[in-house]
Order: sequence, then C-alpha cells, then structure tokens
Amino acid sequence: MLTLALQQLLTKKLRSVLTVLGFGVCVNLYIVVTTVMRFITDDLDLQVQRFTGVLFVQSRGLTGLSGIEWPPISSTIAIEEADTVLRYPAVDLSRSSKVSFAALAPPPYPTAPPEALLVGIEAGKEDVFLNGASAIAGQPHFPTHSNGTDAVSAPPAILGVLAARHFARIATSTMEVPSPVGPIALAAIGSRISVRGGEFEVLGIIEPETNQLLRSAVLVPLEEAQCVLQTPQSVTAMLISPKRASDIDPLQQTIEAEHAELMVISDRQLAENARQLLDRVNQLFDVVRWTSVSVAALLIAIVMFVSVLERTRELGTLRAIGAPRRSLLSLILTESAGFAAAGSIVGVPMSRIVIRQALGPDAAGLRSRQIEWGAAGILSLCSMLAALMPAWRAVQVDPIIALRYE
Amino acid sequence: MSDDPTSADEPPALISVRNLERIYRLGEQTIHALRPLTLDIRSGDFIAIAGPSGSGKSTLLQLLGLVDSPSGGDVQVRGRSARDIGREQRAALRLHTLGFVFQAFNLLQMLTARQNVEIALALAGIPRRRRRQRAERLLTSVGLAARLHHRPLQLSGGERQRVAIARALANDPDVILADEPTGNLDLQTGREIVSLLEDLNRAGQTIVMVTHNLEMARRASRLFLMRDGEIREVDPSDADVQTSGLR
Repeated sequence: MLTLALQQLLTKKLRSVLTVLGFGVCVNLYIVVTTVMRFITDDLDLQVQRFTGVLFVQSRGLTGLSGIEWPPISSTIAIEEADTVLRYPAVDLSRSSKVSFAALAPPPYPTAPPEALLVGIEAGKEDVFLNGASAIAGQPHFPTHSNGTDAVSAPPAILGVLAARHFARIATSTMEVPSPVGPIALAAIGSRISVRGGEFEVLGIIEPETNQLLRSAVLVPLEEAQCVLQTPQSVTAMLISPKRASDIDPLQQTIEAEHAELMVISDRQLAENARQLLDRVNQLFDVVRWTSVSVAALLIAIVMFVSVLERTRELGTLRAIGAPRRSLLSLILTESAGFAAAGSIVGVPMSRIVIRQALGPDAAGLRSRQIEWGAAGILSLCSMLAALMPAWRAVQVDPIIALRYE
Repeated sequence: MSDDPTSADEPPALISVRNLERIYRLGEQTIHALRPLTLDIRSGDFIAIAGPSGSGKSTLLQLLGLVDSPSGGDVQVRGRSARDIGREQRAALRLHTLGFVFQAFNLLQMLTARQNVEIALALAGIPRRRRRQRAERLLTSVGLAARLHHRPLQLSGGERQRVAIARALANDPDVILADEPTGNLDLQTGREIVSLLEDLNRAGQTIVMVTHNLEMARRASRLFLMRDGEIREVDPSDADVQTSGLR
C-alpha cells in the first residue's frame, strides 16, 4: 500500500507539487505567526521586567491599544510639574529622571516600539533607562563633564542595535558586526548621525540581548532631546524609583492625587497593560494560525476527494481482489500523510527564511524546534482528520464497479 | 443439474450455488437478471459460462465472486454461506480463495507488472521479499519474465491480461473467476489467453470463465449456457451448441 500511495503521489506530479507547496505555505505561516507571537510576548515581558519597581509618569488622555501609550511618545508634562514630582521625599532622585520619547522611525511590527526611538534622559541617569545593560562597543554612559573641547564636539548618543542599524545609512562611518543572520552594518563608534536636524556623535552601542525598547533606543542627554524636539519646557514622561519598595503605592497615590493631569503607571499596571495588549494581538494571530490550519486541512481533504473520485475503478478493483477496508483507509491516509510530511519539509525551511527576512537581527535565537515540530504536527494531524472523509468515501466504493465494463 | 449435485465419489464443492436468484428493481419494473439456479463448482473444474449480452452471466459471476448479494438462494464458498458473512469477511474470502480476472484487465496504471502482482500479496500480508519472489515467479510462469518492470501502458493487451492472471493467482486461490478475459483482445491473443487458462487448469487450478465467445467457451471442461437469466449445462463437444445456445 505504501508503494501504491507513493506511486500515486509521483504519478500526479503537478498536483502533488502544488499540494505540497500549499501545505508548506500553511506550515510556514503557522510557524512564522507562532514565532512572532512568542517573540512579542517574550519581548514585552522583558520590557516590563526591566522596569520592575519603577513608576512611569505620563500625561492623561493618551490612547494606547489598551489605554496606556507605550512608550509614551505623545505625552506632555511641563518641566515645572515634573520637577515638583521629582522633589517628593519618597523619590530616589539618583534613580529617577525626566524623559523625552520621540519616534524617529515607524515600528517594524504591531506592538513594537519605533525602530528608532529617541530617548532623552538626564545626563548621569542613563541607567534609569538602561537598567544595567552594557555596551558591545563604546560606552553606555554619557561623559560626566563638559569642557572647552567638548563645546565643539557633537552631543553624545548611545544607540540600541536596531537604531544603530537604522542610522548606518546616514552615519558618517559604519562598522560591521557579526550576527546570527550574517554581518550587519551599524553606525560606527565616533561617527556622526543626524537626529531631527541635530547632529550627534555615537558614543556606544547597547548589547543586543535586551528588549525591543532598548534595541531601538537612541539615548541622548535630555537637554539635547528637548532641543531637537523643540520642547524646552516639557518632557513626555518620568521614570521614578521610590527610595523604598514599600513607598511605591503611596507615592503613586500621592502623585495622582496632587497632579490630576498625570497618570502614574506601576510595573504591575505595565504588566497588565502588556498582558491586555498581548491578548488582543494574540487573538488576531490565533485567527491567522487557525486559518492556516483550516486551509491546510481543506486542501488535503479536497485533493484526496478528487483523488478518490478519479480512482473509483482502481479502488473497486482493490476491493474486488480482496482489499480490506482498513487497507483502503490506510492507502488514502498514507497519501495524505505523504502530502503533510513533504509539506512540512518544505514549510519549515521556508519559515526560517521568512523569519530571517522579516525580523533581521531580531531573528537570532528565535528558531524553535518545538514550534516547528508543533506546527508540522498540528497541521498534519488536522489534515489527517480531514482526510478521513475522503478515506471513508474510498472504503465505501462498491467492488462491483471493477466488474463493470464501459 | 439436480437440486443436490453432490454424490459420494465427487470431491466437495468449492463453490456451491443453491436456488440463486437476482432481481433488480427499476421503479415499478422488475428484472429477473438471474432465475433460481443451482450448480456446484468442484476442484479441477474448468467451467465456461456462455451466453449473449444481458443473459445474466456477469451477474452470476458477481454473485460467485461475492461482490454482489443475491435476492434469493445462497452461494457457499468452501462451505461458508455468503448470507452469514459480512463485507469484510467476503473481502477476505475473495483475497484468499478467489482470484479475479477482468475484461478490462483492471491493472493499476502507476504500478509495474511486478508491483501489480505484489499488491495482491501485500494485501494478504506476505512479507516484501517473499512477495517479490512470488510475483516474479508467477509473471515468469505466464511468459512475462522480460516484462516485470513494465507498466500496463507499456504492455500489449495480451500481456496485460497475463499480468492480471498472475495477480489472480498470487494468493493461490481455490477458484479463478474470469470475466470475459478475451473480450478486449484480438482473436489470436484471446486464444493464447484461453490456452494459458487451460494450462493452469491442467495444473489443477479451478477456473470459472464467463464469455460470449463460444469458440473460447467450448475449450472448457464444463459448459453452461445462459439465456434470460436461466442456465443449463451442455456438452462442450456438442456440435449443436452454437445454434441452441447463443442464438
């Protein structure tokens, strides 16, 4: 029966190739969507973890996907008001900072921060945002002093890997760094980049094993950010760390009570916001995933139905010479399994290429055998279930058909 | 033919038919494709069933081969009544006890001659190596040693029917049921196929052949003529058969 099944697949070459390709595309789609889902989930988790114990302050009335804009690009807080908040006794000033966010490039995918995100932060407080992230080149901190020579230098910028890649196109010099998807060009240390008309000197590149927010960051001193954004009297947000962990809730309540126009977001709310965001995005992704499963199952069912209809006489002959039902059932299911196996063999490498192309350096470490095997398994199983209908039709073929002569 | 054709000195019947009847109903019209008939097929028989188109001979073969169910009466294969067994048991009987040869050969086009024979052995659960050896031996015995790896479309009509005969013989059946085995062949090739069936019969194989060709039918050891669903046995050497039978 295996020989017969294989010969059938080989005989109808074009049909087999198209079916395998169709199934492969479905496997590919399932893997890509699942991988992106996992990537986004992990990344948002990392973003939230990075800000554990930190309060995010932004202006009210912003509309993110779930009520909180993340990162708060369109928020506006007056400098005086921000300074008032920072003067609260419970605030650990050394670990708190006013921040200005601005999008410099569109996000690479929904829920992602902009590919290049301007982050103006008070000099000396870079770690409030970086939270211990190190640099793969240069340094992750702004110079601590200013002198006569600095006056003629461009202000410093510390770039995440995505931002460094984004600015490689306009940087005065570039450097190549190895990555799992091959060498990539980044803005070189010491090179000059232009941000919203202002010129900055690249001081460091942040390690890539962080989250998407850090990977896309263009970290510059707050005053320089305000200058290029032309918002000298305002910032977009504040990152506030309380002196003691137990101060976090009272501090949040105090700020919100005394500053009605400000919204204070704790790490728990940030996590909840991320969860809500993920739920909505995952609902959409689930639709795509189950559509791919349905299409694969329908494809196999239709192809096998046509095959059974075409081979009625052959199946009747097999029944006439004594083939038991289970043999015909296994014949049809073996053919379906052949399509599913070949389709998976095509779809898995296809998905690796697509993920690489879509996510670039972010694709590093995303390949998951578990997802690949899972996708191939789920789609194959559903397709085999769908093939039961034509298989049942096959076992119903009357052997008398074999004895009819037209 | 008597109601009980078994006598003490005859071997037991391989296939025993008692008052077998087949009626088709088309709306209000009733067609008696087969009127009640009784016959026994014994080991070593070479039976030809001849008759004009529509006489009921193919219907009889379908009932003998357990691919159709009678409207009345019974068919017993090796003592097992077709009435008492289900579709799967009938299929098992066809696989192990009966061998079919079809008018249109019914070979699987995508398989080679050897694979076509092997498929019947595979259905019977014969291991790959043994079925390969047996398929080659059978094809050699029907004169197709040089055609093992040819597909049906690469074979002549006579060669295809030889492959079909080899397939029918694959599981060493008690009876070969041949439905118009020469119907798709030219006269000379048809004669060669019947000669092959004669050789098999001489080697002990029981054969039931349905044909509308009286010349071929007369080469059988027992000849039955059918007309309007009724059957009667005649002497194959009887010169009057032609005028009395197929007219």
